[in-house]
Amino acid sequence: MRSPARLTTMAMLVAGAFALASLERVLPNPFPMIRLGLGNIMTLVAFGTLGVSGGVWVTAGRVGLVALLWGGLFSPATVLSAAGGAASLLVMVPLLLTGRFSFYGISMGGAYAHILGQLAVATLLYVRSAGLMALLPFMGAAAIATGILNAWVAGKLLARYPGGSGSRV
Amino acid sequence: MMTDTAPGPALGEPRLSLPLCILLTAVLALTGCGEPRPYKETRFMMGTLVEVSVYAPEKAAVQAVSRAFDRMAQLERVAHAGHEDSPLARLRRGEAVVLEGDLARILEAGMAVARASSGAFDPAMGELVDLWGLSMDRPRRPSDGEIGEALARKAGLALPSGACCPGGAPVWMDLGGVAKGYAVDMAVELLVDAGVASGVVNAGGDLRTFGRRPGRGIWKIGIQDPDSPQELAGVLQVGQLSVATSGDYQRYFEEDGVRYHHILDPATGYPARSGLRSVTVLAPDCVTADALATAVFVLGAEKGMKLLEGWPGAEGVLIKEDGTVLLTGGIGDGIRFERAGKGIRDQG
Amino acid sequence: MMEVKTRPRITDGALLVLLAVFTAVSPRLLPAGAVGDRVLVQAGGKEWGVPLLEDGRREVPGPLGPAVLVVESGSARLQNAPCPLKICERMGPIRRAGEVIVCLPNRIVVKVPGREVVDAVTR
Repeated sequence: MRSPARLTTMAMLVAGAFALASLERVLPNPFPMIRLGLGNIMTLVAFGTLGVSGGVWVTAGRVGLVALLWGGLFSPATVLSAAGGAASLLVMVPLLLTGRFSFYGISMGGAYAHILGQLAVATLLYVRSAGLMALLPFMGAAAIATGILNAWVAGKLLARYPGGSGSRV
Repeated sequence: MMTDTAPGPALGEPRLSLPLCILLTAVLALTGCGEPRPYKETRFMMGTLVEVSVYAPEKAAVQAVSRAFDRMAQLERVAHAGHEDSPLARLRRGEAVVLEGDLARILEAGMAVARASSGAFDPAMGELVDLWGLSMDRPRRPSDGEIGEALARKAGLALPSGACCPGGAPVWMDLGGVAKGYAVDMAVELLVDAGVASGVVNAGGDLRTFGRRPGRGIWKIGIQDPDSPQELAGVLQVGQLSVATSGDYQRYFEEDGVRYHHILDPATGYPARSGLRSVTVLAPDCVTADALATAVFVLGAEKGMKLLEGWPGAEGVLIKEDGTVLLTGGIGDGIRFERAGKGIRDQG
Repeated sequence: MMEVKTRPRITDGALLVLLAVFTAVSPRLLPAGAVGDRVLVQAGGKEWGVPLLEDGRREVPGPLGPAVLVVESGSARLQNAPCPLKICERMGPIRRAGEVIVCLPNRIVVKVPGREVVDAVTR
């Protein structure tokens, strides 16, 4: 249903995701290989408030905006972020649809799929060597941790959102 | 679907620590098994980096490997002319010397190859090696006159025969190369006697395997690509065997735009130019493999192949300047050789 | 509309275990000779690791004087000013498991750890 309220919520979440993703780019990062993936918080909130399609749109909107304003349309950074976004949706949507996972499971699965997608595309397009996978122990552990962190934040946000289902659990 | 309304535990409550315990157990279990890993130790000695890797329980391995290194260190002292009272130093002063033990066996192995190769391998190259500054990392291009004089002196001396050297004329031996091969042989002998089941002793590319490699049974030995130090030109699959390589890419220097490498032709006193870039010899013992590799490099492809074909138990992989690879007849039969494209290390 | 739980459930725990185990075993799924994420440096009787993920220059002590280990776009090489033939400079850059730079006169070894393609290299 395309109610104005729904559209407003979505716009807000996309804007929030973009702001968080931008913040992450601006903040100094001691470990360039690890991203917190804060933008995914808004995708989780969208899943909670708007359902599956909401989460998909918020992710797509975030990737698109970041590409337009930060990266250039076909720069490696954009391609990698799109690959990560697509891979995380491919995992998060089925996890959501089973109804058996909370934000925590969905968020961890999404974060893990994100790095796997990025490593796979980076290996195929840019580095052409299976060696990037040497980073997996490092990045995988980080993905699990950031996935849990993001789920926690998303849960807190959803509890404050008046129409959020999280508040009714 | 959404009937499960029992509140789950919050993060950090006992329930999540159970998975963590399972995870820790899984990690511990997984690191305990898998492919066997050798115990490895490396040391700088004999002018190169020596690596001993053995498959044995750690405690036994540490002891045996340390004794193997001690034995090689002792051989390094024996085969060097550095010490004033050493037999090689006395030979150089023209004294009569009786060669015994290790030194006699090193010389004997070298002389066998010297005779078979009509002097393409020559243990008495000491003065020329010194002249080119190759042993001391102070390379220089000697004048043609200096080389001529050194060659004449070398031609005039009676090479030691058997265990006994007559004295009179000074004999300036350079046994560095073959002594390295012999040290590898002795280290392997010691490891086997110590009960180590299998392993490899590799002295800067002169190596010897022993026993069955755990896991795949055979040993994979890479041959360095002469054109790029981190690539392999091919991979040998061998059982128990010694392998040594002589190549023009290992040590060289450039002066006035000319490139001089470290393998001198005993006939001319200059770096050998035989059309080969690298010669890898496989033989039962490393001292022979070492001397043969040098001899074949100096002889060139045609005569070199003949020398190898005639030597019992020896095989070779020769890489010519144009990149062609020549194999002796016995390769493919017990010993396998796979030629590598660039980037072979990317393949499993 | 679908409801999503915000509190962890036992299925989330199961997924966590699955991902953690996969992360832990992932190094074993790598092919031999894969690109490494660090090098081991041996010099002056000590051994230490240097990550390949960040560019940088570090001094490595040697009996002839300090050499410089340069890490650049995921690979390492040695700049060895005091070393006469500079063989070690020609041996780099290295990035894959088993690749090694050896400086004989200055007694420095730099190696990428990991599963190697061959048992030994003849050179």
